[in-house]
Amino acid sequence: MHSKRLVTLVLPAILILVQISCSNRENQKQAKPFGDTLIIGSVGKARTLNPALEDSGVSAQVKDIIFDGLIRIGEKGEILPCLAVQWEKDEEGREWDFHLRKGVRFHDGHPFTADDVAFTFNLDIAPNIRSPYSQILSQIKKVRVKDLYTVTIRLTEPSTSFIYDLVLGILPKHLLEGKDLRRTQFNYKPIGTGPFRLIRWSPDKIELGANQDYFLGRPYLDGVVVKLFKNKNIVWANLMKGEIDAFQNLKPCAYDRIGKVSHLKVYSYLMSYYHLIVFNLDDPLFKDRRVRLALNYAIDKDTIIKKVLRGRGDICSGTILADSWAFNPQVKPFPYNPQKALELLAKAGWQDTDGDHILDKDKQPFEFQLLLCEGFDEIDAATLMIMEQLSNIGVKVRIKILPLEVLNREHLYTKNFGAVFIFINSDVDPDKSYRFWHSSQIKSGFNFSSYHNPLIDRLLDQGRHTSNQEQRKRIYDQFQEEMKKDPPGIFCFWRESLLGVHKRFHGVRTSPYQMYKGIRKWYVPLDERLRP
Amino acid sequence: MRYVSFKISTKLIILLILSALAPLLIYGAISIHISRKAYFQSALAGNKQVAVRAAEQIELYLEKNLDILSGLANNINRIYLTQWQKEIMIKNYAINFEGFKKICLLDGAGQEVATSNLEEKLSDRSGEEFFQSAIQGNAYFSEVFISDNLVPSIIIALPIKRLNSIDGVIAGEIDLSDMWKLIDSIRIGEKGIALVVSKSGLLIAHGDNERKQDVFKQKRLHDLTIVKTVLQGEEAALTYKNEAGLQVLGVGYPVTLLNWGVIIEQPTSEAFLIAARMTRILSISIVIVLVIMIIIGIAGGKRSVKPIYELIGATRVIASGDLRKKVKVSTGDEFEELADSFNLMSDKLIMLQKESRLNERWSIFARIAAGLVHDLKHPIKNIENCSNLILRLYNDQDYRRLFHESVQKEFRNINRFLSNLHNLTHPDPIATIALNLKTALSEIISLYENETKQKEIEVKLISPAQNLRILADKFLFDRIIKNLMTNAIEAMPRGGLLSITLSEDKYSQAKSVHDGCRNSESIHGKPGKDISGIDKSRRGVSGKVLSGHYEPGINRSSQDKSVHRLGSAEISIEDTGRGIPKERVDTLFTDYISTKRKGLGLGLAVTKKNVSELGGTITVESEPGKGSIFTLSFPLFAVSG
Repeated sequence: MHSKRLVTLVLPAILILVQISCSNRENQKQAKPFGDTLIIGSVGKARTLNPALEDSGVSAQVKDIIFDGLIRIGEKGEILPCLAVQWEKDEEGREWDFHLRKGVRFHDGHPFTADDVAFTFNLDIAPNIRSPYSQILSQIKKVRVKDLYTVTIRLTEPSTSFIYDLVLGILPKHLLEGKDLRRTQFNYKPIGTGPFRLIRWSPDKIELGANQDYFLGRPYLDGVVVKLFKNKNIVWANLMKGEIDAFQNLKPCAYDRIGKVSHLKVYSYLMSYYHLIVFNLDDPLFKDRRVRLALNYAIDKDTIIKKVLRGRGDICSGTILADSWAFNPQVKPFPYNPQKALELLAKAGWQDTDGDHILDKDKQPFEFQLLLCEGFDEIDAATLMIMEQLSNIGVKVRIKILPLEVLNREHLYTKNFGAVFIFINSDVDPDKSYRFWHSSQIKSGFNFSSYHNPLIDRLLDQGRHTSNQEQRKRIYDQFQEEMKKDPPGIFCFWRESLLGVHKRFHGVRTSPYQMYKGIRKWYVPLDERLRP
Repeated sequence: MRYVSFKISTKLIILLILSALAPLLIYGAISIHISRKAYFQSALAGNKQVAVRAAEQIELYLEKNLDILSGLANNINRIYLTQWQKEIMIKNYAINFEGFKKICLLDGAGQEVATSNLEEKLSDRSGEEFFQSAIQGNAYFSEVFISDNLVPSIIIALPIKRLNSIDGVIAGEIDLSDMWKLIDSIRIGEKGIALVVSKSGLLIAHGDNERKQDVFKQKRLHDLTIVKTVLQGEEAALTYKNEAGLQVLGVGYPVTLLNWGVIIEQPTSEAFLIAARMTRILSISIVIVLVIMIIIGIAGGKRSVKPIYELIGATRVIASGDLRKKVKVSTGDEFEELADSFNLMSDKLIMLQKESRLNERWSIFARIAAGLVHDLKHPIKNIENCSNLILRLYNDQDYRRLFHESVQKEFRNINRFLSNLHNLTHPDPIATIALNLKTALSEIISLYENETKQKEIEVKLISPAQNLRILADKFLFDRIIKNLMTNAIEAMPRGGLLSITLSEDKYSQAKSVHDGCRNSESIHGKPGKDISGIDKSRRGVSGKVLSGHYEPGINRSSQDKSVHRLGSAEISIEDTGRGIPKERVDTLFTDYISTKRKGLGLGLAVTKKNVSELGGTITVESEPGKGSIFTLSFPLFAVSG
């Protein structure tokens, strides 16, 4: 069981998550009315609603409001109590004690206790399941129930960033104990402690109702419905028509148009996802660091941001968001320099010898297939530009668009690809990079590109186990420098999430760190109520 | 029909208002009408220009996309390109010209060769209209349709020519929401917007943010008149209620390239804002002017007719006899002149009055003097003559007797005259008794026996009724009759017949019988007993005093009443003398001051006065040369039994 080699969620699809929060508003206790239903439009399909199985797409959004973690992340990335009200760790950061909230019940009325926490963190997840929980489970050596509301977690290695993973939902022991996680009814009838509970689930929509007994106060809305559509354009059209109330992944051009529609309000914020084309380093084409550097120089990222994102994004130089304390401003993004790209490629042996405008080496043209995940128009559009820009230096790109599950199952997990255009959550703590770029994550983790750089490995290890903030900062500064010298792919951009919401919803807050959980604070004034 | 009559001030106000306001109103109405019309025209013209420009821009937009495709078609054809390069080129176009949702390159058989889609699934599209049309060599624009993505879209396609033959088609699908930016940029005023409808009336773009979602609801506007007109290729301009229920000025212009229509809608409230504002200002100023004029009219009217009221008041005062009333008007206009004239008139009236009073006094004085002279001259002259003769004829026994008689007679005349004069100004109190008329008359006649015999006058008393009585003062009654008899005797210096007839008014009697009892009662009960003693003692008249002293005129009405109810007694004294000239008959009883007569003639005036005091009337009929009849009428006094 490699389940100890835990990997966390990631994946293109995770994007979704809009961070809408109102945590700062809690003191403003004016009487907000209960009622109305929010209909969210979304692209894709949900397979299960079990947080231990699903880590992307619609499922990830929905499970976020059905389940609660021990902690939650505030608007500015701060750690806030959730199911745990208090916690202590030993000096080393190896053993953590969590004091749980009392009186919390699952949606079925069963009380939540330390047993559920222990059960969740003792899950035995088969290695072939890429579970968002794998990463944290791999770090945990032992979970001990001290009493009904206290639990002690002992880690295999000391970790400071471990706490951030505790946002993962706590599962009900009484429903899952002894069940096969992949086949249990629970996957379709999830029971959590979260602000909303599942009412009905049909192929085209997921209906949720307010948890009247939610321990942080019942949500103002009576319900949330997630409607599923084929593509963004259709969601957009439905949003314009008023069929749905919210859509959080507007195309930049749609966003500009929506801003002019009177019944909608638009929100935007920079998402903590770095968009990059990841190369499979097992592919001989990308083994040469010079080739990867050359391709980074060959892409005019500014133009892409301007044209595709209409300026609603930032150029990306690495895996850490510029907002983060760990960000190293010294590491500049690659400038657009096709000459330098050609020089580097020439040094690596790639030249157009046969005059077909395509570089070749050993009579082999420089050609690769780029995989895309279905349904992300900005990536599609960026890809079109990247194709053209690469064709300018004689690099031929073939495109293949795949549904998320197929992409994951048949290409990423099996490393059956040349290049893939994905976006990865940078998250609050830089330790997140561990799962993607540490060589230990190659086999069953999320290091799809099989990136192996000993220095990077060392730095990521150090960063995880160091509790001194200054030291950590220096470690991650160096990590970012090294990452630029030896890039696993082409760093493209950070993108804004563009959210369109019906104007009757108030209390909408956006933040890169909070997801659907913020919906709990949305409300509709009585006179604006639209749906019973 | 009732006619309302207004005061002059009201008339003035109405006149003022009519004369000043009516033109103002007419002017206002005309200018409002003209300005509205002008603003309507200019708003219309302005909006139409915008509509024309919008239509042009939409055509340009469509043509631009066609040009893009055509540019791509030329490039893709001119050079030898690999399949991959063609793809890159198409994709590059699609990303750079974002209106294109998809661009595809078709070979001569309608098979896709390359598309801008990232995926490489190429399909056969030979059956589709755009291909069939373009392969014939035509530029093709499809009708607007709703794409898979639920937005209005069109397909445009062009043939690809090589060496004069068509060997392929290039087509692009345009998401028409791309055109929004263009439509949104069209704004008139604050709320004027543009909307675009397709050939079938489908809403393609709407400049109003509130109604953008109608595009997604696939709203069709083909039922709107303006849309109908525009889709027939004609321009249109009218006001109507739009879908949102707002009154708008709509100007439509056809987009001829595709038979679309662009409509500029502007709320009339805004389009005609200036006109409306002007109308309002004009209306308000008219109202203000009206109010001011009414105020001025009322104040000014009152002020200007105030002198008239003053004049009216003064006239009334003057009419009531106070000629000293003056009017004060200092308006400086005709009213002041009128008032001055009025004052002058009243001054003159006063002078005239004084003058005429003076004249009257003088004339009265002269007449009285003349009368006195006339009346006294004769007896005095007689006396003088007699006195002159008496010295000579003193021994003549006859003459002395004559002298005595003459002087006596003249003194009697003088006395009578003086007594009449006195009586006229100082009436004696009267004491009434029930008087038997026949007896009284007989008594008086006997007094004149000598005189009448002497003058050969036959006196006849005709009295069919025996017991007629009236209530009268014996002294006064005697005086009346004596006066009349004296006049009659004087009127017949050469003798004649003097007939005195006593009669009863029958009609009155009949009435009096009917009412007799009650009236006698009332007469019994009412009279005061207080004065009876006085009268008795003063007059020493025997008989029963039934009534007290009546001041003439005071209780007359009640006396009259009883008189009439009792009937009346008539006494007529008829002579056969010279008669009275006609012109004197009417004023016979009053004109003792008249200058037409020589003497004062106090006799008849006093008689008339005395008759009145007794509650009777006196009338005269006379024929000069034949004689006169004086008729007296007194209320009867009926004694029962």
